[in-house]
Amino acid sequence: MQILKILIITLYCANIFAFNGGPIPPKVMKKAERKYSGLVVSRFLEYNKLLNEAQHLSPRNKLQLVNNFFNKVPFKSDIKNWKQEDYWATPLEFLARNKGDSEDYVIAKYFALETLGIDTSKLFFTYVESSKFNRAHMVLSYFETPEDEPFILDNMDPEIKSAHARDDLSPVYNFSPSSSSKEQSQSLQLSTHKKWEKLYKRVKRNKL
Amino acid sequence: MSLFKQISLIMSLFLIFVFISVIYLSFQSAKQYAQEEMSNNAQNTATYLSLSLSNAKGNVPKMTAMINAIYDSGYFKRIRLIGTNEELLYTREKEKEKANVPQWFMSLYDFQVPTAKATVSSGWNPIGTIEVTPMEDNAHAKLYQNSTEILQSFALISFISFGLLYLLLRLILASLTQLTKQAEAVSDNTFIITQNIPATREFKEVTLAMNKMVEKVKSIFEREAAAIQDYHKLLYIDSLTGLSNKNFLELKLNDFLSSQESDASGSILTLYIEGIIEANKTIGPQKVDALIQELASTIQEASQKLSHTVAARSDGTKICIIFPNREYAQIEELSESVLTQALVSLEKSGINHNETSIKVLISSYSSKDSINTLFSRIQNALSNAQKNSITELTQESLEQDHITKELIENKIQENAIALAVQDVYDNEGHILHSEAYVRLIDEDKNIHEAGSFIPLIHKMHLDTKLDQNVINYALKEPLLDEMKLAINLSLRFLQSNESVQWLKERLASVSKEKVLNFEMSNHNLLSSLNEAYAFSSMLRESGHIFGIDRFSVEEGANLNYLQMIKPEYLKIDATYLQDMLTGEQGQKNNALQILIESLDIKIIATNIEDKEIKQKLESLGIKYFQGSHLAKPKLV
Repeated sequence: MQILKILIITLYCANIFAFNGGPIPPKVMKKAERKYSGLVVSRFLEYNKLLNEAQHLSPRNKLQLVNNFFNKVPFKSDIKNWKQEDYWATPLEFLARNKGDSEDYVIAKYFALETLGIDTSKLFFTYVESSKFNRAHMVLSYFETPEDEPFILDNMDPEIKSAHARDDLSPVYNFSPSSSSKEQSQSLQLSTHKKWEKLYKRVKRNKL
Repeated sequence: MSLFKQISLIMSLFLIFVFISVIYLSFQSAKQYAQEEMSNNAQNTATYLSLSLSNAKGNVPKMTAMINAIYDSGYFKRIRLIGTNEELLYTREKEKEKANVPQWFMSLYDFQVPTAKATVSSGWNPIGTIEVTPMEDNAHAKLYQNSTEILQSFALISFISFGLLYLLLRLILASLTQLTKQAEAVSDNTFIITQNIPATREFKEVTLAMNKMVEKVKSIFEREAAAIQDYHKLLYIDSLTGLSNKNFLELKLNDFLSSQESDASGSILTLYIEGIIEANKTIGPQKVDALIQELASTIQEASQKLSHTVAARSDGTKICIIFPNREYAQIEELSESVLTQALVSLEKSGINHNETSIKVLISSYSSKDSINTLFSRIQNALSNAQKNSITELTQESLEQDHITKELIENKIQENAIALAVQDVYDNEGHILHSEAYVRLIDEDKNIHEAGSFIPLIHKMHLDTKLDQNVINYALKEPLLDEMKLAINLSLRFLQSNESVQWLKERLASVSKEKVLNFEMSNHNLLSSLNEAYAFSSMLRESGHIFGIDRFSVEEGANLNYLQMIKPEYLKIDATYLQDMLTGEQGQKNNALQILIESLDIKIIATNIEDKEIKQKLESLGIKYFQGSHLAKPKLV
């Protein structure tokens, strides 16, 4: 516990201002504790620990750790969770509630990997069709190079597999958050992807 | 700048500021809306196209066909497909189209044409990016149309707002205009009491205060005027009979004898009580006084039957009436009734007929007489007159004086009258103006003064013609160019609309620098106040000056008319002025002067015949003088 406290303090000093997908500052933890319960804080601390541990690992290992961490969160549909048809939750909301649907896993993994220094242009939100569950689904695809086969980070599958190993999924559309963000900063007035834009703002605000 | 203009200006600036801001904001929001809509459309198209292209599984001809299909709809300026290594795979682009929007309008705003992007995949792998750039012309046209509509509606709104603003301000400030008028009237010595009290609190207070002040000033003025009239009575009314006294009689006679008007000749009726000492013994002084009072009231009544008369008690035994501008024939009947009534009074008083009797004498006066010759002539005639009857002193005809009707007619027809001018000075020796006197020169080169022929002219009804002659002369004669002339006008001139209109037109052609004074005797003015008011206003408007000549306090007329007519100056006989400005004990009494000068009217003392009277008047504060002591009339 002593080590954790020190860790928290260092992380706090390192990132006073905002979460941004990075280590969660204590102020946010306090807020989360008031809104949810004490368990939230322990999950947040675990998340911070994960980021700390994964820092110096290889990209593949980073992917593995992050995937494992978030796949522990139980699945819950948006309509039950948020009383909305389709809601993109921020990583903080996702962790705090400790439940979410496929997009929420993808988002949380994306921001965590971004924090860990993975090149976001290699990360795509892929809209897929799942033949196993016979429904629309979303996974996070990681492309080593554009020509390579991507690795699929899926909340339905604990293991990270190469795309050819996922014949239960057929890809429909790749969304690149990094290029969308780039566009965003170029012309602030115009939005290229409303949903992503809204989410991005909420993430910046540390929305819980 | 008037308050109305100031408020209008501020409100207008404010409204313009508001309008411009609103127009700017509306335009900005319209622009933003157009941009967003364009960007949304482009983004949608990019996303749909990328989905379709992903289905082509990397088949380039299929992909180009898809892009062409979308591009040919005509809504897009450019569609590009870019590979993962930034290489251009396919592009369709339109040349710049000519928009129906003026160039200056487009240069007014910075319009960003968004380019929408979406990732194109083949299977799991992204194979490129599709870029969709929409056509901006439609947006420009839409914006232009929006802006013109906004401007049109704001033009209408501004027009209505400014109209309302104008009406509202007019309404609120109407009472202020009224107040300004009242204030101007106060400084102009006219007393207006505002009846419409404004509803606006501040204006109401001011109006009430002004009304109060105006009333106060008005009452002070009236009190002073009444005091002056009282003093005039004290000086010039005979205490026993209520008629004017000897001083006033002499003053008036002098005035008539030196007059340049029709009253320069006329008749005098004198009622003489012979044997008054005996009467005193017979019936006692009280009854004699009663008799004199009765005779005086008879005289008073008789005098009131004709206009412009002066009834006065010239000494203990003589009462007279001056009938200016009247011949014997006009007063004969009157004299008879005076005699009859006087005899009745005499009978009633119970005196001895052998000792005391009444004599009535009718005599004439003209400008050739002096007051002393006139009085001695009357005295002589009375001593020789028949008792209890009327005696007529032979009347000299004017025509004996080489002035014939023909001469006058000719001279006036030929515009051949002559003028003499007399300068009026201020106390520093500067000339205020020069009064013009009309003269007549007969065949023998004799120069006749106005008094000798004006009565005849009046009789011939040629007064207005003569006045026009004088005015024409004054305006034409180059020798008079440098002078500020004062021209006397007759009553008939004033009363004739035609003449006044003629003068107005005549003056309109005179250069602005030439200022003429027109004057009129106080008595004439009082008998035609309304015309005088209109006339003085007309002169003031055309930049000329109106003055009153031969001013004296007239019984029964209050001095308010001075305030109404607003003459530039009053000419007052020096002797009369001295009397009025000296108190009973010889102290200074400048009530008359203060009153007149409070109305911004100058006092000019006339008939200054020696140094003493000028000095005396100067010490009493009089600043302007006219008379033979200073300058005699000079023939032009």
